[in-house]
Amino acid sequence: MTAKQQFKEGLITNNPVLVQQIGMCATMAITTSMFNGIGMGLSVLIILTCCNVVISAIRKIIPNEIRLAIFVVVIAGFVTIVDLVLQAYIPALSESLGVFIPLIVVNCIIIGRAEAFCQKNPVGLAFRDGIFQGLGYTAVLFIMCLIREFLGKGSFGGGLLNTIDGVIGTGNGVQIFPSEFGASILTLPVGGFITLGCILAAMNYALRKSEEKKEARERAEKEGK
Amino acid sequence: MEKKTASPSIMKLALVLLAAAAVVALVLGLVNHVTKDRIAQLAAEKTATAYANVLEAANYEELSGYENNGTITKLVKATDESGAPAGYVAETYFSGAQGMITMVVGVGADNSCTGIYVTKSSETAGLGALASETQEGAWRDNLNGTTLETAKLAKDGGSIAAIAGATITSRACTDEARYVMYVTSLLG
Amino acid sequence: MLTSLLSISLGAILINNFIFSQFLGICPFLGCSNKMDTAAGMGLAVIFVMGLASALCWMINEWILMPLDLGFMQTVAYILVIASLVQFIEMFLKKSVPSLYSALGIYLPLITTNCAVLGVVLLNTQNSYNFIESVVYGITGGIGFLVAICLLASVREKIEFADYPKAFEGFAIALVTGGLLSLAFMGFSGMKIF
Repeated sequence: MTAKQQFKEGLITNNPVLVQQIGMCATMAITTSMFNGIGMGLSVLIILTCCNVVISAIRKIIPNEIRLAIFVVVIAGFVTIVDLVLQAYIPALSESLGVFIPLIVVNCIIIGRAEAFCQKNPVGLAFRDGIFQGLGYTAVLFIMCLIREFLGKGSFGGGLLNTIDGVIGTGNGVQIFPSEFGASILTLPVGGFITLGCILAAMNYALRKSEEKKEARERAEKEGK
Repeated sequence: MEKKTASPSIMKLALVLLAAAAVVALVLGLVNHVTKDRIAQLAAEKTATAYANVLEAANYEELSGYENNGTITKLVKATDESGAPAGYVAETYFSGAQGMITMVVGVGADNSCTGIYVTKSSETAGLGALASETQEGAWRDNLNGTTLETAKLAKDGGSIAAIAGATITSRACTDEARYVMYVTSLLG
Repeated sequence: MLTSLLSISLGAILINNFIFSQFLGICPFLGCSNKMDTAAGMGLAVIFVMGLASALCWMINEWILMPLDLGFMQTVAYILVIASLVQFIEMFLKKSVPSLYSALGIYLPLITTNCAVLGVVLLNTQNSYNFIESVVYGITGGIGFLVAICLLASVREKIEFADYPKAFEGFAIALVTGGLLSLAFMGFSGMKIF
């Protein structure tokens, strides 16, 4: 598995949210501002990579019967570390993500990758897998935030750009058009559901179209022979 | 092919799990030790900032035995250096549109609101979250100087304009400020 | 006391429904809502687990973690409790009610990774609920989950025969439907019960 293959898989063909369809709770709940989205994405990336590395490193000495319990303990450990560090050094992120930081423990993506990948692959591959799957997840969060913020409030980069007094996590970002003209329903829970549904559909469509193109090409090659 | 070994006993499994949990607990204990002072300091700073922001005073003295419908978590009497009463500060916890809001309310000596400061809320970003904003000209400035009679939303017969698209949050904060003024008016 | 319990219950079921407002428990919400019986079975199992987990985790927090100043171990302790609880329930059901066990199939161990279960015990601690309030929040949160998943299942059964764009097949149309249901539940927001 080359790095390039893993990169493509993590971001597109095996994207955790859009293709594997796991880890959706947080995707809809916190994508109301870019700060939340990127913050959550990076937190998951760090936790995923650390857990991947540790689990891959101890994969040969874990007794098979309790492997899920060990995974869960390791993941909970890393999540608590990230939680404490965020509370101490980026309290704004800790407050806006709220209960969803400890909930990263049950984020299916992390347990899923541990079960499906880290158990059978060496540390190097597991490390790369963590990074790329984490990037894929962050990319989806980024797109969700982009759509919900822009169409919902007419702004971009809430909490990251145009901050109040330079304090990260404050401010409403760059206002592209006045917020009265935005469909503010997109900033509510409804918006989360519908936006993710549409993005999933778009991904389905794109993947299917590329499948059809590949089949048509193969058929043409066969006939051409 | 994996070697076929006898399935380990329950005792061994439990010990391995306990060992793993113990290692994790040790690491976490270390991280906690490093971060807990800073976390506590941040929390204390936040409350102190909130108090100073709504009602600057030399001393704050906690009261008890006041009328409470359950939303006031702490009521303190503020006094200046000479000991003269400067008003009250109340820490409140009530329900907003998307969950509970924690807010500090300052009441002056003439029983008018000196300001509110939302310390914790999970309201929608860009709508209800605007009630938490503290810069010059933020929505919360509307409540400065209001009294028991005037602290109401325009829709409810008062003079405060609600945040566009966040009536529930605006009404919750305004009503809570008014309730605090009611309680302090009973204290005389 | 009763009014606070009532407000917690109505909050968990209607005003701040675990799925439609708080987004906890989406994976099984989408995964198990194809048929009404799976949905109902999953919902009932979740109510049971949430109630028990709330009780157990409250006791562990109150009597072990807090006195020993181990607050930072909450996440680890809670998830271990939930995982063991689900394991025990699985063994119990396998022996005493095998029909229900086979009906739930793979969904029972999946309750461990259900955000709603860990979410409710974390919220109990965050809101500093006492024992009764925690258990009530757990059970009514589960009831809210049951209501949500059955509503979605009933709509999805009908959607199977509807004509929607092929790209929306699967979770995408379920999400859009869930969104519309969430919109309906918004009608309850801001309700006060004093």
